[in-house]
Amino acid sequence: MKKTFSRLLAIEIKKAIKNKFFIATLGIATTFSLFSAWYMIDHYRFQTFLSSIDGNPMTNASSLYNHWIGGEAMSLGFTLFFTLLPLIAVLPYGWSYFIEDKNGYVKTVVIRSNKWQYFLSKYLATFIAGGLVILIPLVVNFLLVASFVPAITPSMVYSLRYPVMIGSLWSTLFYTYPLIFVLLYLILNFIFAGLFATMSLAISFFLRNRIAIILTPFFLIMTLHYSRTFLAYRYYNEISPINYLHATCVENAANAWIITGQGLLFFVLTFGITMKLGVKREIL
Amino acid sequence: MKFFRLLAYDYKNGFRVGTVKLLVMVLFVVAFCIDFYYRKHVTYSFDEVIPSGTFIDYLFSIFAGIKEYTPSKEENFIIPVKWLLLHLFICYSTLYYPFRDLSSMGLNILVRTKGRLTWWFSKCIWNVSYVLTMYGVILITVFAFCLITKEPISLNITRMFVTDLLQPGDIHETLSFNLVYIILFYPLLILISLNLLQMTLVLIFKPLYSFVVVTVIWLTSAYLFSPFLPGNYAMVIRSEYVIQKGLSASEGMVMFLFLVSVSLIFGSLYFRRYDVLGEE
Amino acid sequence: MTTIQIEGVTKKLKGVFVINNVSITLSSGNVTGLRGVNGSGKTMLMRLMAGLILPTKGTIKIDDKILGKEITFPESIGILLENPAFLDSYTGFQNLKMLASIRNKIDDVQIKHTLEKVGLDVESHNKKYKKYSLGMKQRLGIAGAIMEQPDIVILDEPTNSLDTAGVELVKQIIRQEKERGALVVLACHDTDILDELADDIYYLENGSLVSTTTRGQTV
Repeated sequence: MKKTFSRLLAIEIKKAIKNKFFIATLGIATTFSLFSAWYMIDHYRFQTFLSSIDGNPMTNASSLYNHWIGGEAMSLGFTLFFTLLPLIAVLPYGWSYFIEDKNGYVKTVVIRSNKWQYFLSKYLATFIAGGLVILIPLVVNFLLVASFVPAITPSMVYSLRYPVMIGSLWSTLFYTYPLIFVLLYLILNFIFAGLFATMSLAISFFLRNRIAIILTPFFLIMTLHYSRTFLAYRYYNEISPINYLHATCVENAANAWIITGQGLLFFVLTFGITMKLGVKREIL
Repeated sequence: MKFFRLLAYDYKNGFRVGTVKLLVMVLFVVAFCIDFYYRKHVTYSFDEVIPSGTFIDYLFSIFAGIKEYTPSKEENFIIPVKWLLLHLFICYSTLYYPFRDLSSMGLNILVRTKGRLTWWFSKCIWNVSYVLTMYGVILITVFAFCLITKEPISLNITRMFVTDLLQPGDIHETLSFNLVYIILFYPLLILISLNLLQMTLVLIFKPLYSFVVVTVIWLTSAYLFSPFLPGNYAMVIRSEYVIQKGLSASEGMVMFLFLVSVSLIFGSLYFRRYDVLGEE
Repeated sequence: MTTIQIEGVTKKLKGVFVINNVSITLSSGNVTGLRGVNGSGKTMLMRLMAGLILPTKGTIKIDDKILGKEITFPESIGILLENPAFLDSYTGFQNLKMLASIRNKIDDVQIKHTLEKVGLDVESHNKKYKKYSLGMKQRLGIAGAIMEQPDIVILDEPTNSLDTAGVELVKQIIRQEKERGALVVLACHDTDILDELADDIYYLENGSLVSTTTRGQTV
């Protein structure tokens, strides 16, 4: 039985990653991240040129850690990538269960395994596809920018250039071991992108329209992002994933408890709905 | 099937599919109005009396957008989420129906029409009508909100709110009454044109990727202050009637006509030879 | 020896009885036919036997194990229910390989052999499913049901969309499955095919069993 599950999982992951939607979406997301890299490398070279002419070169003010897409919040690439992140994560495979249920493919699979295995492997594959489609462009951007901009350890002297505030998530690491900080943020992005993708899977149990299934998570996250407006001047921790998935602060400081709480909530809801309703649901 | 019968069919089915979305739009607009009301109270909390916001002030706050962004390491780009959410939700609302009607039941309708163009133009008219209805819902909701909160129903723009709450930058000393027309019509015109463009793109890219393309246009417009990016004309605080070097209304009209013409002409030509495979 | 015991099974969906107090016993080496007009409950009964839906009342036992309690699905089953269902972006061969790799009982050679058996030539093995004609899709559906030589084979309208040669091929396959010792359940609108192939035929009407024919003998 265990073997059946591992085989089913391998098939699901293959289907999730080797499909044209994954490739197309990865292409789009990578283009956004390359836009950012291009803009920021150019920006760095221009700044370096200006510094060389006159005055304090401010060597520590510019580094890889505020020029890669997760550290800058000024380019069009950054804007497109992080705003559309909840949508990009869903596009590769979030729709898969809906399609398989609609065309009847589910039944040919479940009779060879069981519903629990089918939904667990579907959940994991959707999660991985969503996570990878975000993780890969981020890594590509980081490596590309690292090829042109030196990885100088961020300095608190230039706090405007390095907006990681005191008390913000992993802020100590940022000013001591920035590479570990970046790696942790890459993992965080992978996890949340995976969770966004599984939102679509969970929503498939309630909606019968592929477009709505894919776009609902995006609109839910955008609505959550908008709801911050009602906390203005009252609460200064970031509650929107669109902002806190960016490694440096866009508006407010990232709070570990809020991120953990939201992550757990997303997981419990998506996993709970998928496994509970999925296993319970009759296959007509 | 006669054109008007086809149009009646589209109205009936398209609006049935989109009814819930009209209700969601009411909720969004109520939230936007509460947002403005609340901000007004916070900003002027030390004043003796909290100034009243007129009907047009509320609309202005909804369609305002953000001032021109100058990229710098010291100032992050903040997405105009209210403005974006509103426009994207309307684009999403018109995305499904025309595409769905190219499969299942819609195929039976298509083969009964006199020509492909009849079908296409009927969908275009439905699309424009749906956007107009959404816009009507926005106006009615703001109107009702003002009635309930006893805010004045007038078209007088309060300049103080524009400078304090919307912060457009280099604002004119006095605001022309023409600005009212900009608030009332320009976001609507750009919405109509981008929705038609999206419907045309659906023929090429399929709905989800068309939505991505249109979303990129909206977001890029917010990021780049440029007369060539249509979303800029839907941001009222970037208008020539608000800021010194704002975007001209006539150029906005040209953009609207250009996008509508391109969508209609390209869509018609493409749909004449479009392979209807009935994929959903 | 495989048996399916359906004991007083009733199934209610959204307040409507789709199967009403049906009791049948089926055993391997036999072809059991189901007959009835559209909506009489044939497909629902097949779904119940496959474990895809569970009875509201009554039990279904596969080799004395209660479906839905002791086992989730029959351990060895192949199905073709209504329309064949595969993934558009994969070839016919890849689709079957993907399904076969779940149980990992058969290899590529056996998959190809099954494809040839249902009349899909080598060229069509590597054609994407979305480019298949209706008849080819149906043949692939049959191949998916029989490729692993399951103990139970459930075929719902297997001759849909097939030409005369295809229908003859399906008949031959069903006979072979019977000879192999499989328990075959067959629903078909074509009365001649059922009369020719089935050992027992059950007539369903509004979800209830109204009569049974055992090789020319009506009960």
